[in-house]
Amino acid sequence: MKQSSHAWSRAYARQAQADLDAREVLLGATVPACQHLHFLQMACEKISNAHRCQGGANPETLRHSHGFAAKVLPQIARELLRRSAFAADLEVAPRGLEAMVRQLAREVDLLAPAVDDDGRRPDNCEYPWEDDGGALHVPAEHGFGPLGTLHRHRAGATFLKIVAAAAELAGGFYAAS
Amino acid sequence: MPDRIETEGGRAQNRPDQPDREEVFEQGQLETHQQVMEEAAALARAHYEVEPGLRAIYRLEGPDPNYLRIKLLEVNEQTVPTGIMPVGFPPHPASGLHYPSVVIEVTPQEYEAIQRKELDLPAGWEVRDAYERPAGADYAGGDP
Repeated sequence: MKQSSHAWSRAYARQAQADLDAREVLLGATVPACQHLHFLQMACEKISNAHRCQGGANPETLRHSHGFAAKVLPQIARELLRRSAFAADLEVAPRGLEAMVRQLAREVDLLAPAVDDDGRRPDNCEYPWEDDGGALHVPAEHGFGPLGTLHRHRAGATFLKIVAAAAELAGGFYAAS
Repeated sequence: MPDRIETEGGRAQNRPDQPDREEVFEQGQLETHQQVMEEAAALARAHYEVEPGLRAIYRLEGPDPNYLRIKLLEVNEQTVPTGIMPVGFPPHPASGLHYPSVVIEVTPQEYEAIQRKELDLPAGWEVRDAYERPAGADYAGGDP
């Protein structure tokens, strides 16, 4: 590996930002939920990879790793609280925020076809799947549970804010370090 | 038969038995705007019902490439402070939301910084009226 882990981290963060920008464009278009969720899933995966690069993971093998957002994003939420200039002034510590972020991040992880909870969650945002009853499901027609209704889900806005901030944090902070 | 006829000065006019297109267009815009406002209020109510840390929700107004986008400023004491970071949501017709929306969620301290002009909203965006908390959607914190 020729490049430093910092350079790889910045690269993953930059690509995550591009995915988030693409998601943003799709929000105003008439497309199925699976399309913008696909970009959200890809962004979260790359943000996780950016973070893991800093933890010593081999950047080149990360391309084939999935399902780490549920582990990494709650850590980033905690880090954002710790770093913020406002954090010391918080009157009430966010209650259950990490748990909410972990739950939504896990749902995002499960959007990747490679992550299916040992076959219990075949739903994903790319390929059709057949359920236990033999019914065929198409991502373009699927509701995607809490992620499909993130606009009215508890901590929905907070979750997206953490994802966006995490991309900036990985790109900006690591660039400066 | 054409709907519009050319007058001597070259200005197109509607036939007497046809509604004025500009008026119809303006009326359509008004109705659309009204629908956006109603859906924004419904979205704010839904947020009050699920977010126990919400102190206030304000309507935002300002230049936007998508002029029909719902824009909300939410003051939430149970969020992470990140500065101004708008997050977008797609329409969701099944739950009555026919327009995309964007939420700027801030902590109470960040909201105070906005009021003091120490934290800037997106260029040209302004805080407008507050949405009332629906009955039964209790605020979980201290004095709102």
